[in-house]
Amino acid sequence: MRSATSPWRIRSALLVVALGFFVGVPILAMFYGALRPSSMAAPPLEFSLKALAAVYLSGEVWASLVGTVAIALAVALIATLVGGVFAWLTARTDVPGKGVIELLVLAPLFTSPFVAAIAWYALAAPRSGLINLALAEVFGVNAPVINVTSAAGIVGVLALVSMPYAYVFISSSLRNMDPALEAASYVNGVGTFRTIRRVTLPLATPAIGSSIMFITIFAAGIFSVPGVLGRRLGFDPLPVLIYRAVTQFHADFAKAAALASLLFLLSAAMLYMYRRLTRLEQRFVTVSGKGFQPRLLPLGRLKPWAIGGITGYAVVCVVLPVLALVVAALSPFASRDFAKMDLSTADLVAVLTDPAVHAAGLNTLVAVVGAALACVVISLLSVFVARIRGRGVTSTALDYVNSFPLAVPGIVLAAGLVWVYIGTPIYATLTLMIIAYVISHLPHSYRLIHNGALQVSPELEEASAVNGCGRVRTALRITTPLLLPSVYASVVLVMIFVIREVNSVILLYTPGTRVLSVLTWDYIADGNLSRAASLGLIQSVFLIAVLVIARLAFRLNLTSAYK
Amino acid sequence: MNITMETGASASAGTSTVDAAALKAQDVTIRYSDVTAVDQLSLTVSRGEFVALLGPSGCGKTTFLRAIAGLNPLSAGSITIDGRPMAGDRLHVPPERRPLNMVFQSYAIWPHMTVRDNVGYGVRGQGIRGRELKERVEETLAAVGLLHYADRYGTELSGGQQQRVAVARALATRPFLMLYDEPLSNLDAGLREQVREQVVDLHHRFDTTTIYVTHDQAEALSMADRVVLMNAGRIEQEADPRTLYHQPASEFAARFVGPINALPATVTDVGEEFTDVMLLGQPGRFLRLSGPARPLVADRTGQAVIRPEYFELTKVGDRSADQPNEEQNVFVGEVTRAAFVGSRIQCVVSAGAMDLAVEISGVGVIEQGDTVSLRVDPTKVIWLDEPSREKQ
Repeated sequence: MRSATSPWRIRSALLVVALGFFVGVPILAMFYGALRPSSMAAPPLEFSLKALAAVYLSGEVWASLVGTVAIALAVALIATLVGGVFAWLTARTDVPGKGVIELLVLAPLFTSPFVAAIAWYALAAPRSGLINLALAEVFGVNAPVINVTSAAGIVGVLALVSMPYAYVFISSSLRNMDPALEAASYVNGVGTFRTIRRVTLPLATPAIGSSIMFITIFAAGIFSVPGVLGRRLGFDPLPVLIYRAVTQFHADFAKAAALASLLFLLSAAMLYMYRRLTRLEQRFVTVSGKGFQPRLLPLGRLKPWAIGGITGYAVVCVVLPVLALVVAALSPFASRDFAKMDLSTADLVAVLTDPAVHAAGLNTLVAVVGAALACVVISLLSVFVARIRGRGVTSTALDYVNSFPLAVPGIVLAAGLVWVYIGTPIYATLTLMIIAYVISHLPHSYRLIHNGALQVSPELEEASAVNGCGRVRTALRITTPLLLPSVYASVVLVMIFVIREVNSVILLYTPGTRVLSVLTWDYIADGNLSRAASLGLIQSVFLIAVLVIARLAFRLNLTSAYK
Repeated sequence: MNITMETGASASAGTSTVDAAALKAQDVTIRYSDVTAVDQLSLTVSRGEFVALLGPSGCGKTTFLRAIAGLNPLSAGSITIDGRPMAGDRLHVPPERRPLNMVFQSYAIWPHMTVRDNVGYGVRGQGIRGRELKERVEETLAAVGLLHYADRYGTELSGGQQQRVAVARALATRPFLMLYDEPLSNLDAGLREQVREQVVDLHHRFDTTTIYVTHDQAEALSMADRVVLMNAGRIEQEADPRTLYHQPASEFAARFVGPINALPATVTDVGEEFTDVMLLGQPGRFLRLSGPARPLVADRTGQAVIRPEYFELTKVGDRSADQPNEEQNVFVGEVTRAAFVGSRIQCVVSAGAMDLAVEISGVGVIEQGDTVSLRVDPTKVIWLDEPSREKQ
């Protein structure tokens, strides 16, 4: 099948090129845009270094870069430490209730960082935050005790929402480790703690490194959390600067593109390191013998502490934010006094009956379904072609193309997409937003379906071939049905990620194409916390509904699918 | 050769005194939620002995080995190593404090360390440093022929080399007890035989006591001083390789170590020197066994077991097969299948209603359709009572 004239050689080359254009052109356009004059009406071949100079030579921007990296690194370190401890607890100790712990730890994965930021603003804003009000009420403390509108607050909220990634990375590394590697250390006379230090930790190092890299990229590119919490920060993180360049009085897309290029280069450097580490990790994968359990450390007297810590985590990360969201949605007027707080459903009702919300809801639905389907189709095509072509240049190229958007924060992608589609009929439509969703979530859907395909032995397809079925029929009749669980998982995951996504569409929407998350941002920008919280609640209900339907209709356990 | 009438347990070769026992396992039971993996198993291993734990997958042999290592806790029973209690009554000495080392099925070579660091890992843990450590590591690596690879990473080696690193790592701590968990099952057939010899050689050279888990009967028979055959969590039979092969205590044991012909029969005539049994479904067809080691009871049913290579085969031209077999223990029949496998010829002879598996030296010429006569010496026929009577 590998003759030079094989039609699949041409077809796969076409797919690689087309996909490469689809995900790569926005980045090229971003660099093009960065070289343009600030007026978008300028002739296509007119170039200017003004935007680049304004970004790369600006002290303010470099300060912002340093601040962004510092925040992102702090987030990555904290999230990896906490997520790693949770992963170790569930994989290597006798802590009770492991299923519940895992559900709690992974919960933030299926909620929106943006809504989490709103909830935490309601909880811990310096003056009106519920925690501060409660402390003032109970202990008579006057000054704000906890302030989430600070660098520490932003780091905390971002660490909470990115912790599940660390957990997934590290716990799957611990679980895939051949238990004999630790057992071999014991029979060599080395005890539990030295074995952790000399065998377990070194073997988990690539996963820990991957977690730090991945979360740094993720946290550096998030616009929504610093957008909500970062107004008194003294500097604007890079994603916020990009947003401001576009929304200032004279929208400057050239400056936005130049800023985006800086954030992109930062992410690309980190992704490069991330891929090197994951390659190292593959070297560490060992053929496991029999499925014996690794030694579970009895926590003994530490058990109450572990359970207490987990309960504390559940209260702080799940219970309190949900409560805060409900209270904020029900209190139309920010109150400085706990006792005099008026609860009213007025804003919730207003939001539910607002035609703008209905329109945004419809847009969201269209975008969610469109993006999820497109992601799945592209991922499936890539996986089929990679399987037909076997290991080699094509499958490596497809892997790169499908993973590349991981290095591209949503807001960077948007800053480039503007320059690709301006002047075309797609510009300022919902389609453009869907394109943004598809590109940014392609890596997730591809990874899920790719991993699913790894479980399907190529011999199943070869058996179809020797039974006289061609490639296409084999793909439709054999491969696709076998991949259905991964396909469902990837549809649901993309839906959830799209519902909660703000970063990529915040630069692309028009009044007619607003989606729910954008509308929520508008409320925040208007200072209407109560309505933003109401929409955040509605969005969370949507997300939970998707999860429950997935669980009931497709028997899909997304928490395990994501691993 | 005598026909064994003993039960398996009494065929044990554990004649050494209890004090000298390197390992003593008593009534060891290991249960997982609802499965009993090891069921009241008792085993004594003498110093310097090479014992193979043989059995089909799922028989509990690896679980038992891991319990000896301390990697699996006991549900009941006790384990002593070198006279020191290791597990039992609320006692569980962790593996790191047992005088043993182990070679794992997956080798478990730490990928983040060089071969040298892998092998020196446990030695260092014993507080040995500097020159002594280096010498110990190099001496052990030289013993497995891998000194040249000391500074490579384990993952850069072939499967066979990794396996030898695993053996060196275990031997480097000079363990009192060496445990092997199916160490050859991931190797090619050719390599396997080579490593077999090497493992036995190292056992003698390092003067250890070895317990070796395998599901491959050729491995167990060729390497071990004593084979412990396990089935469903219990010991089916423990004996030296020859006894296990020629005097199996049960049909399971007989079949597990090699092919057999099992002919259902009833004891008809118990004599001083010989016993005659009548083959079921073959009225008038008798088989003679040599003198019983345990009195056989007339009318008892059971199986006469004959291994394929026990038959002496002669061609009889094409004089009819239905000529009466006046002679004792002779079957005349037609060769219905003959497979030449190099050193041997494996054939099936249809004699009366029986299909007998026969194996002869590959030098002869036997083809399908030949009429042959098969003779089996009475001393070679194995008698197994109907198993329902008494489970050992």
